[in-house]
Amino acid sequence: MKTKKRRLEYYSFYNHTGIEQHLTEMAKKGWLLESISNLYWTYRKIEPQDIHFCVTYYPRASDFDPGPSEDQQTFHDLCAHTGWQLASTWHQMQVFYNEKESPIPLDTDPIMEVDTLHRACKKNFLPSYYLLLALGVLMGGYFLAEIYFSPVTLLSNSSQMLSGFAYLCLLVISLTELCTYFSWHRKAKKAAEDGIFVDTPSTKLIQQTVVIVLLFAAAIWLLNLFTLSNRLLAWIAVAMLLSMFVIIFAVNWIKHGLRKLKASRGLNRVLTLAACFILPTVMMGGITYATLSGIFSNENQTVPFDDSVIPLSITDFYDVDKQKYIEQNRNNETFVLGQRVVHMFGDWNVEDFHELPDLQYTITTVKIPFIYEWCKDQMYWDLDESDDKDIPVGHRLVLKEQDPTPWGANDVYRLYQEEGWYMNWYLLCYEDRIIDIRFDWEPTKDDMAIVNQKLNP
Amino acid sequence: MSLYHIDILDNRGYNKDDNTRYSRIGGMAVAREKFRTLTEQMFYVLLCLKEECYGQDILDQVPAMTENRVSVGSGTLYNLLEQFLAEGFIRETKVEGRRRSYILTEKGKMMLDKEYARIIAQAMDYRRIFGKEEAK
Repeated sequence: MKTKKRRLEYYSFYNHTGIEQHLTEMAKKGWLLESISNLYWTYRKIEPQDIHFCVTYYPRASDFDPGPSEDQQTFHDLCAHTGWQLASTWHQMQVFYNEKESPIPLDTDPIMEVDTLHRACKKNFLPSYYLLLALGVLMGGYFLAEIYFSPVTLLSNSSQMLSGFAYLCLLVISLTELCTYFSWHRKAKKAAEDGIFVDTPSTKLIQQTVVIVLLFAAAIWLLNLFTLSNRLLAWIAVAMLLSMFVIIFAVNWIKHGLRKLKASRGLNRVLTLAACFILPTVMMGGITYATLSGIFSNENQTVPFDDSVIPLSITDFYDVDKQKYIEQNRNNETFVLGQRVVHMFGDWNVEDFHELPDLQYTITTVKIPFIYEWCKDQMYWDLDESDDKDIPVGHRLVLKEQDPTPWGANDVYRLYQEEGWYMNWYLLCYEDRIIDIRFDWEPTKDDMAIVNQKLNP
Repeated sequence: MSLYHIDILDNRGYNKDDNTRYSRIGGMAVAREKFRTLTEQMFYVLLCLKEECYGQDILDQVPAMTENRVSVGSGTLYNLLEQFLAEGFIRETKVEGRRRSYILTEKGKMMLDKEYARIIAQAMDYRRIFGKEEAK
């Protein structure tokens, strides 16, 4: 028979009334809390019974302590005197249970209760959430700015979309936790003056919803990686995700191990924090090394100079020696947008490399029609400098509309310098794709037809 | 301020009528200004410490002294003892392992006297308004 149970619980640090109710329910079902960790709560099997739980706070405690201090034990002894047995501690939180029918609560003064809880929150909970909020604002804000200013780059990269979305979730969670806490604290402080205890609020529903949404987003991300992206990149991304879980477990294991070894609070804190910096560095280094040494790749994934893997090659226009060329070919694709960047240029090791014509293009495939204009705008204004006041008038690069017929496109723009000279740089707009193409020569009508045939199949 | 009577609260301080938990001290919880006046819990904890005693003993003495009208929770007592020590109202007399005993100081006695005078003044005001008969 199962005697232990581990559960992921969604209770805020300050939500002592919610935790007390939950633990009472668990005891009725025959599960008594044994320990709380940053990852999960552990319960042990007991006879189902009515047990009272009381969650109180000891502000001077730390999760890095090797065990309860002398003063903390004096506090535990006082609690034991009224029948309250310690079930578990977690940071400053102290969870007690009492098997008496109607025990005297640990906190009988609401003002003192609110004050103690607030002092405990100021030790870990509030500073952590201030940091998470700052991170959420910074990175979530950057993500939103990216969506607005560079939708094409962002929407074609599933990893960037997932991480940006995760930062937005972090912003939602940290803001919810802080607002809920301070709203409760204000109410509880006022009510305490009238001798009334105010139950702590729950953010369980919001936390659960965010976790479900994030898991769903992660599932889409994985599906996207393995169906639309380069397999090599997909495995690297999975390895990085797994390494994050390994790091979280390892850091907790180190902290727990040091506590068992009775390391002092200071030493434990320093070593655990060091692990937080060293482990990710080692993991990332390992993944980079594995990538560079080819552990993740296989024969099918390597892309040597091969014009069969790209839709349009310099060889479609000129009879050149392929051995003298270097090819860059990057493809990012999501269910929303795809972006392929191809650049072919002469190898610098070849003597006449400067005489070899370059070809560079970016194909942006828009899979959701309503974002087409939005993407087109970004690509247009990325090239056109007519609004850029930092560049003197006459020196700006501007796009001018061209006849789209030879290209077989809906709209075509060519880049000009305001003073009049033109560049062989075009923006081609087709039904579901926008192509930014740059030639090293003036394209002929035949070249334009080749582009139409190859890039707009 | 909410009006309620101590008799309708259960041991945990819950009033079943409005499903709210109250402090079991029968009045304003704590002075708005720290130690300007004492709450009942503070008053009785200091009163217990007229004689040297351990923290655990206070937990038993307060309900006994007040016929279970007032009780102090362990967490609240721990915090009160810390605050009284910091204010110099009590001092530590003995440390036996983790058991510590305390006793009232002169400053603490003055605080109790001040509180007693305040309570007496309140009682006198009541008598003056309603007369001796009704006050009985």
